[in-house]
Amino acid sequence: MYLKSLAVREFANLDDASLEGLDPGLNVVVGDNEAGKSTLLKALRAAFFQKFRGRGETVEAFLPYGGEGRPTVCVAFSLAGTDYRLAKSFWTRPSAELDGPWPKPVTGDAVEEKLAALLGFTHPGRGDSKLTEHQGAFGVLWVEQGRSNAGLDIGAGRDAVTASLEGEVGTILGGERGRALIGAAKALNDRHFTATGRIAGNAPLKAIDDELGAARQELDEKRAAFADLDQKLKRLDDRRRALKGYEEAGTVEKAGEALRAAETAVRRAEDRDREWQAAEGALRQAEAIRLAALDALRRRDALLREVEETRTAYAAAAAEHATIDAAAREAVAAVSRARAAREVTRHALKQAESRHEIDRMQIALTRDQAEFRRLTDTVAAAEALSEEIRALSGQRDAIAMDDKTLSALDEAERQLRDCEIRLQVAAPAVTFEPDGAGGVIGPDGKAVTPGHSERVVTPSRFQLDGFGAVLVEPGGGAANLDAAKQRAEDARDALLKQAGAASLDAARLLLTKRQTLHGDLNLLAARRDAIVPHGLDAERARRDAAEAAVRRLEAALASARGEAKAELSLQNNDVDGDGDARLAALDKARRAAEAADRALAAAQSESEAMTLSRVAAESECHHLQMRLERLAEESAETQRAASRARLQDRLADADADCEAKRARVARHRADHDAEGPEAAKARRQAAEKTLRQISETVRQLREDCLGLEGEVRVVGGSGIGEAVQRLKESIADLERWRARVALEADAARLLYTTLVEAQRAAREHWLGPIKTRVAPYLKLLHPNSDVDLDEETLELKALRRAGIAERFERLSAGAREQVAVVTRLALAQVLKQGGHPATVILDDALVNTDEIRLDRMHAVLREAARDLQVIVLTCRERDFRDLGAPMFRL
Amino acid sequence: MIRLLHTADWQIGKPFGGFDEERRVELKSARFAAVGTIAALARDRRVDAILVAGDAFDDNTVAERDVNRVLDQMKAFGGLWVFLPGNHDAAITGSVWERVRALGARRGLQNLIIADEPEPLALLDGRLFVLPAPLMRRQEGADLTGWFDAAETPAGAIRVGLAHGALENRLPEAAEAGNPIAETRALTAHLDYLALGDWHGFLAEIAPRTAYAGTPEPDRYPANAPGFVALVEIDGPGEAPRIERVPVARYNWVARSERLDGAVDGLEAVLAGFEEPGHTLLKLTLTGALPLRERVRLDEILAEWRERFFILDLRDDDLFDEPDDDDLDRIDLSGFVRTAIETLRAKADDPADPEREAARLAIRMAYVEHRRVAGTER
Repeated sequence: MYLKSLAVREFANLDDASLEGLDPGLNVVVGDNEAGKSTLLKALRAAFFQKFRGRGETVEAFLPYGGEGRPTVCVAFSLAGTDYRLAKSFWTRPSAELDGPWPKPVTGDAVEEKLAALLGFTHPGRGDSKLTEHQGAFGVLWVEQGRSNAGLDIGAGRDAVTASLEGEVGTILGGERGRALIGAAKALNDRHFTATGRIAGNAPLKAIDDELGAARQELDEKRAAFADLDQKLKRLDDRRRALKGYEEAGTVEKAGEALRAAETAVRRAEDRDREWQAAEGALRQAEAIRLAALDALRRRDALLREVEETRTAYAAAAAEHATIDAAAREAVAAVSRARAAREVTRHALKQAESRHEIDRMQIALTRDQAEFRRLTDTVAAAEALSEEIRALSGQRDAIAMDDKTLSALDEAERQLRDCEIRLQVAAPAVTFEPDGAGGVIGPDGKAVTPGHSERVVTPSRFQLDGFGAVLVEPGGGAANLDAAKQRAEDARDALLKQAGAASLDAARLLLTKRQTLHGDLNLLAARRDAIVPHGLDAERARRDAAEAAVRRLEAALASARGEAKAELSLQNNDVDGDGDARLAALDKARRAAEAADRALAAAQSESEAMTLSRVAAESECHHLQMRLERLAEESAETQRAASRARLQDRLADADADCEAKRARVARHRADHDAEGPEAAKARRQAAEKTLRQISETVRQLREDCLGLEGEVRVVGGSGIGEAVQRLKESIADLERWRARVALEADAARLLYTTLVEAQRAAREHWLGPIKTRVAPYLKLLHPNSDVDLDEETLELKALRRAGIAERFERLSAGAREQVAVVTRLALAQVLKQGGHPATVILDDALVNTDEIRLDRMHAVLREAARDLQVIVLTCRERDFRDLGAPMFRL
Repeated sequence: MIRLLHTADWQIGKPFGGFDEERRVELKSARFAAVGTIAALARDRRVDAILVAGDAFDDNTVAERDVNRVLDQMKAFGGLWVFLPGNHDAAITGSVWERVRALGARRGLQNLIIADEPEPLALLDGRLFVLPAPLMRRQEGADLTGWFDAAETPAGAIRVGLAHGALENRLPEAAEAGNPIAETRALTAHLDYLALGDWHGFLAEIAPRTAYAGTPEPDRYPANAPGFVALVEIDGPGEAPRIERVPVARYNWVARSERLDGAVDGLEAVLAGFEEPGHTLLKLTLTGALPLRERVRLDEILAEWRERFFILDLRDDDLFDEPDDDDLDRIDLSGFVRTAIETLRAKADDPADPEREAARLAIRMAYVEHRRVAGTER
């Protein structure tokens, strides 16, 4: 499509403007601000998209500023090689006319439909045509002032774009029918679901559910009513059966008869009761008589029995007394025997104790004597050791040699040696080596051995045969040394003399001997200390004490032996003897003595008890004798008054009388127990109550039946069972239906979502061609760049420069408008390729673009205008002066 | 000779809840009409008495108005009407019979006999003795006709038993056996005829001198033969009864199964074979598999016939769509639509897919919609 001319009259701020002879390529329309460039675009939109009969605010805005007039737009355009001429007038005498390749122009409302079909857009159901919804691809292509950097305004245009794209991407797309199918599937889906996937308020499923809910609720209600009716019927049935039972059994009549019988019984029982009371009185009297007779007989028997008992008791007591008396005498004798026995054992004990004492002292004496001997020996040994120590100590002290003296001797000897060695060195050595047999005589007068070196330490004269004397005088040092040697020798000799030793070795031997003696002394002292640890004097004192103790014991023993012989007639052999045997004898004597004591005490105690018993027996004997006499007297007296046989006869008579009267009472009691007046009255009361109760029950049952019959009659004929059954069947049917509709809904949703998903996948392929078209333009502006388009909306998402995505809305205003314009041009080419009208109109679309990029945009526009009509509306002529396009001025 | 009309199981007040309001009303009306038809038939054939062998009413709570309508319809026949309480209208306390009796008395009906006591009824001046076995509750469990054997009737009178329940060993296993009746009862009780109710199909001589009349107006898709009454002629005691089957039904209930494999061609003939589709209730069970184009054709055929039948109840749970290449060629699939259809087919073919059924239907929808879209394009 390309626009050939445009004429606008009385349209907003344009009174009369026209563009004639527009180029199929690039066109520039120049106008100052307020000149009406944007109005031109608005008029163009109005011509194509605004229904001419419109009366809304939008159309009112078409009116000139004065508010009066007939806004008119005339457009000539070419579409797919065919020329069209469109004229629309608004508001005042609205009209439309479209001339095209048909015999006569289309006019009126048909124009709108024709335009929509030709240009691929839709009219709104009501209200004004909106850029993104109703104007097809023209939202993309006709860029209003101020919108160039706001993205693509693609809206409904994307269907046109995708439709166009399909021409390029061929068979992978579903084509027009595919979109129609999606639309149809969406419609199916929307019947059931909301946009958010919930069941829609007017969905068939909702209606069924509502109906089901209502039916179920009604069923519940009917069932409840039915159950209620059933309950009532059961109650009615129960009442009727019960009532019938009462009536058939004549229950009320029977209860009346029972009451009458009970009343008769009461009267009879009262009569019987009175007779019974009289019989009871007679019985009581007879029993009193019988009791008196019985009592008399009992008393008599008791008296006779008492006499006999007392007699027997007296005889027994007398025999007992004789026995006890003999025993008491025997007990006194036993006491005397026990006492004698005790005396014997006492004497034996005393003898045993004396013997034991002597024995004990003898043992102590033996022990003390042994101790005394041991101490005497110890003292003697210790004294011998002390003597030895004294002797050795004298020997040791005689040796005047000690460590200190030996050290001094060693020192003196060392100094002497020292002097000798030094003298040997300092003294001249003389060697005589005579030629012949001549000898040499030394200063000491002895011959000197030839060839032997001789040290001369003092001036010495040697007599040489045949020569004379030679005096050898050593130097000064030698003389001194010899003197020192002499002193050292003197000192040593003095020390040796002091020590009493001939030589140093002798002195050492002396010291050794002294040390040996000292050691022996120490040993001896240790032995003595071991024998007498507390010292010799202490030991001697203990020995003396032991001796004194022995003496004392010997004296005491002698005295004890004497006493024993004198007092206890003990012989010496009794006194001496086996100690253990005597100890055993002592123990035995002691036990015998104790036993004798106990026997005596027991005998005394027995004797005392026997004495007391004898006294008691005597007293008892006397008492029984007195009592027997008194009772015998009493018995004789009563027997005289009335014999026992007579008493027995009286009792037998009373017994017989009582028995007869008791039988009578028993008969009356049995009658009473069978039914006394109380029982009879209770029975009468129960019978009254029963009659009352039964009458009440029957009355109640009749009332219940009447009431229930009334209720049942109303509900029973209401067809409630039918309603329940109908609802059950209806619910089953609805459930079947619901399953079917639910399946339909699921299927619709599945179809729609599957189609949409497949379409989305296919769209990814569609983006290719757009990018291919954008690329060469974009390269002119931003080398190495690319655009990201939203798969769903085809809107610009980002500019990708050197691989880095920058979100579109964050780009600079200039970059945004450049990218958007370039993308629009690409889309326009895609649309054109698809056979859609594709004229691009840019209304001040590049106002934020710098000069360098404006130049590049010129190149882009020129390139695009090779196969697209591009109309640039601008207020800045110089920006587009160099473009080389036809200029139109407003 | 006496002539009896034996009928049963009117089920007056049956709700037909699975049908829409209009058809429900018509079906209910047909049951009243059946009573009128029976009355007219009895009058025309000079019947001595009509025996209704139980379940005249569907429920004891049947609406008062319905009872009155029945009494209205009975007017055409002035002879004896003997009603036996069945399991649906058992003679319990508060049963419909209390109301029928009261309404009949109010109308002064002398020919209305409710046989709700198990004792012989002397009818037709003692020529006929009816021995009834009324049900006193819905399920008795015991054979209530036992007393017939010992019941004494005059030697010259005809003995007819009237009972409601399942004749032992003579009915299909599916029959309810809550109220058994000994199969030899007619013999052991020396009956000239045993009139039975409960089984909705007509069964004459199911046992010697024993018959089920069935329901006069069908009320369900049957496997037996409903829609008749029995006209019975008995010449005298011991004589064999002559039983005539007379149709009275207004509506024809038919259950039919058809298997469709690949094409629907035979179906139309089947549907066209019904003489009175407007009075026919057809439960059509379809099985098999169809390509989409045939399935769409089937829907068109059924849509047309639905308007002609009184009811066309389709059961197609076991009829499957089987789209073939022809189908897909016809809908000219390309691009993403083909991708989507392939996805759905994969789902439909996967027995483990929970959306298998939905996918099948979705393909059919796509087919239908696509054809529609294509149609509008042309």
